[in-house]
Amino acid sequence: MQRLGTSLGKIQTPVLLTIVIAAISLLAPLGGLAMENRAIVMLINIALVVGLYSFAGLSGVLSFGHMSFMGIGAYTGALITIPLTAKSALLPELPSFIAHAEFSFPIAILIGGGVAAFVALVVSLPVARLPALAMSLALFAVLVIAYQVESNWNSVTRGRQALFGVPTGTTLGVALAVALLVIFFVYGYQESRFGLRLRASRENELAAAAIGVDVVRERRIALVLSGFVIGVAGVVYAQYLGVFTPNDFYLDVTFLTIAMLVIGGTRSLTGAVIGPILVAVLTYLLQRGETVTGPGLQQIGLALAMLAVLIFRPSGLSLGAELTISSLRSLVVRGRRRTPSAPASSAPAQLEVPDEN
Amino acid sequence: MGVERDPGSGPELVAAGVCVHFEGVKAVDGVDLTLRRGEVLGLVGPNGAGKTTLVNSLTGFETPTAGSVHLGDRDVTGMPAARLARLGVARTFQSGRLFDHLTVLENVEAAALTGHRTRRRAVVHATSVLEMLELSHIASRRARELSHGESRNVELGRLIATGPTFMLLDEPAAGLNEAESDQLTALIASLPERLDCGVLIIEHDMRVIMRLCHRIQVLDHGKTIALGTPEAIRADPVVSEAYLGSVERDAAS
Repeated sequence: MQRLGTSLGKIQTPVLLTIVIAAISLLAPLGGLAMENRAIVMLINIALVVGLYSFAGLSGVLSFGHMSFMGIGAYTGALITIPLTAKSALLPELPSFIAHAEFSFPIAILIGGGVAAFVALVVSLPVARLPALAMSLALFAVLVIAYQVESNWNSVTRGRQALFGVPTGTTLGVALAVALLVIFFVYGYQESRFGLRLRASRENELAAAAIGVDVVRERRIALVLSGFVIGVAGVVYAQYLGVFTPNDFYLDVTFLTIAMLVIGGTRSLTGAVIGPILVAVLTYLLQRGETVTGPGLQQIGLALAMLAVLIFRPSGLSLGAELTISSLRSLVVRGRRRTPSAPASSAPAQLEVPDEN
Repeated sequence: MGVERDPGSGPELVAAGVCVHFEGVKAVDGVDLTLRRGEVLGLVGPNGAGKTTLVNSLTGFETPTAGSVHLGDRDVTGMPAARLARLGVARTFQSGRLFDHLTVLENVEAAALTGHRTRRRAVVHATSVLEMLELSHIASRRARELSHGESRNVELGRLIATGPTFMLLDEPAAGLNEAESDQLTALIASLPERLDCGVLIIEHDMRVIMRLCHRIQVLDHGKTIALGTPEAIRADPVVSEAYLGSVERDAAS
């Protein structure tokens, strides 16, 4: 097993994450259509949270505004895939270059991501210069602006009314493929020279500057890449829903994705992937509970889970470590040692930091 | 400072009349300083003399209120720290500032990226720096798991990996025991020749300073009160009044 880890080398983390996610995706349809839909939403959430991680996790600057890129991706993707006849009936005043555009789903994913990335680039020009806390809040302001534009640009978005007629091209397979591509893409970035410089600046901004890291530039790159990834996830989500409003890309999803990242752990890609998985399980259980308690349990439960992680395990359930063969092995060994005396009653799937390699 | 220049030794790092004032406090008040390649310059003085503030203004972490900093012919006054580092002026900090959650190798690699465009080349360079400092055995440890002595060495390694022409070290031996300090001193002494660079060192331990430095500049209340060879400084009555005397008394008690 150790030898396998060595030969897989640096790529073992995304490969192991792929195995986990693929297994869930294969098993989900056995639980019926509802379970399959839950799996699709979970996979889209993974893409969103990994996108958020590629900025917030790697730079250490929390963002309250990244879901604006999700909305931009969703509306862009929808507007260029709704069939022409339906579109002219739905949005008669659409500018002609959009009114006559009809692209296939894969192209729409790229265009939606591209438009979101472009907006992220424009946003980054002033915003990336700000100090960390100011940047978090400035990005929140961007979210508010995006929401208001979507809510009031009636000729293009139908404003607060639902945009419908969007082709529902997102199958379980599509969601799985996108989530995996996003994971490999962001892992590649994390391990690139840009990602390393950005992580150095996260650990200590002054020391990073002292070794020549242009922190503003690295954060700008991260903002554009994360805008692309989240824009892509937005397109895919829109094509899952088929019908949506600006509220689908506002505060609820902002809180949800931040909670998922915090629960999983902001400092590793593994955390950004296991967060959405654990929250999917938690949400399922809480929704069943809601049939007894009435509505609200789901949100309260999620908020409490985030609070508990912040208080008892501030680096998240991943502890900031990546999933590797040796971390799995030490987990198994620890589990065996623990079982005879005390049954494993603690939080699920804790990944311990491997010290030996 | 009418010392003759050695034309072969390349550009110098020169501060002229540098002042840094904070809301009426004159932390640095008109200091001239020249750092040459191939030398170790000691910067000493009592606490609050303005040593760290001067280093901050030489490395882009503080914009001087007045005065200028030149790197060779180039005016680098107020240039951002990251750009100065890429031009070869790099520093360490008084308090440890490693990248805690990165490995030792990644710490050094991030610095090696300053002169190497790809991660593959940066790894090779970082590995050789760790070998030179005899730190290869801790390459895969995370920085936060290191002992104090190891951290200080890794910080120096990170600095070296940027390929600096001028290195400014702010109390590199602070908190080290005598053996560790001696080892570090020997290493620092070898750097000007090995890397063809100039080293400025702030240090309170006069034993280290006297052993290491070609020249010593003494600051007090933001001004230069003496500049010369270790022997001259040791004999200077102004210096022993302001600084050395009190230190020796402290050490004796």
